[in-house]
Amino acid sequence: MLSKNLKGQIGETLTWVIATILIVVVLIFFILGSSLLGNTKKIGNFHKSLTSKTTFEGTDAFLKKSLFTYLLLQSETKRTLLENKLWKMSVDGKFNLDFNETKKDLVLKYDEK
Amino acid sequence: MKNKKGKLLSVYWFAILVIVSVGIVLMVNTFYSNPYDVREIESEIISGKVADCVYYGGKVNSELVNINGGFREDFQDKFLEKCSLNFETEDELEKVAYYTEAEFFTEDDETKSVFFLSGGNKNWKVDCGADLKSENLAKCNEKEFYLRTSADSIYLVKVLSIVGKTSENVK
Repeated sequence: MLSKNLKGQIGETLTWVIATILIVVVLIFFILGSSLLGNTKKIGNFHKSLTSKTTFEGTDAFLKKSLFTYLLLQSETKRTLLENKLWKMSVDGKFNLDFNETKKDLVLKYDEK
Repeated sequence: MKNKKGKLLSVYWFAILVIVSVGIVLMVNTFYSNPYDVREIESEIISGKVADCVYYGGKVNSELVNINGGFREDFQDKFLEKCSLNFETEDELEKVAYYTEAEFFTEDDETKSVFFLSGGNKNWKVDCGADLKSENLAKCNEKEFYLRTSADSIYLVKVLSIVGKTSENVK
């Protein structure tokens, strides 16, 4: 009778001990998670899906300035030279926007004026 | 006997409550004690401001060029003021956390600059060339664009902006 009671007591205590350990482990896991998330707090590095062309128009003032220069140039030779340079910069990934599409857009707007 | 067990259980639940509360406080504290790093965006904004100040809507700043189409040296002396940039800190002993420069190259030689504008704390420039990647280094933003003067000549303008402010942005 006494042995059965002792066994029951041990079993019950063990359940509580395991439950406590589980609670502590889960808490530690969440604390580590929040610490990791805290380190990624950066403004500017947005997820690609957020900045994709379908969801976000975006802009590149530097590309647009260069394209303005391209459109305003009077010498055709200089225009071609500049276009090649801009194309090379675009290949090197120096622009945030697609070079050809932005150029097309600006040319259309410029012609409308 | 039963009463004693009940008391023990109450103490246990109280202990769990304390552990969980402390855990939540720790979680919130670790997440919110890390500051937001806005230096990249800040440097991009400064670069954009400098570029707009130099060349806007296809026109070069009238205060930057003289009648002959050359660059005016006096613009450099008041570069930050003319471009509405204020890098000064409230505390005079605190070092300036920003630096910006704009280099002008002719279309024929894009290696040797013909005109140079700069403002802020030049010491931050060392961080830009560093090979190692560390959050404690200043954030640099280098952009370039082509401008056209009224004489139909083209210049390549390289704009570099640096934001130090590591203590405010990195834990």
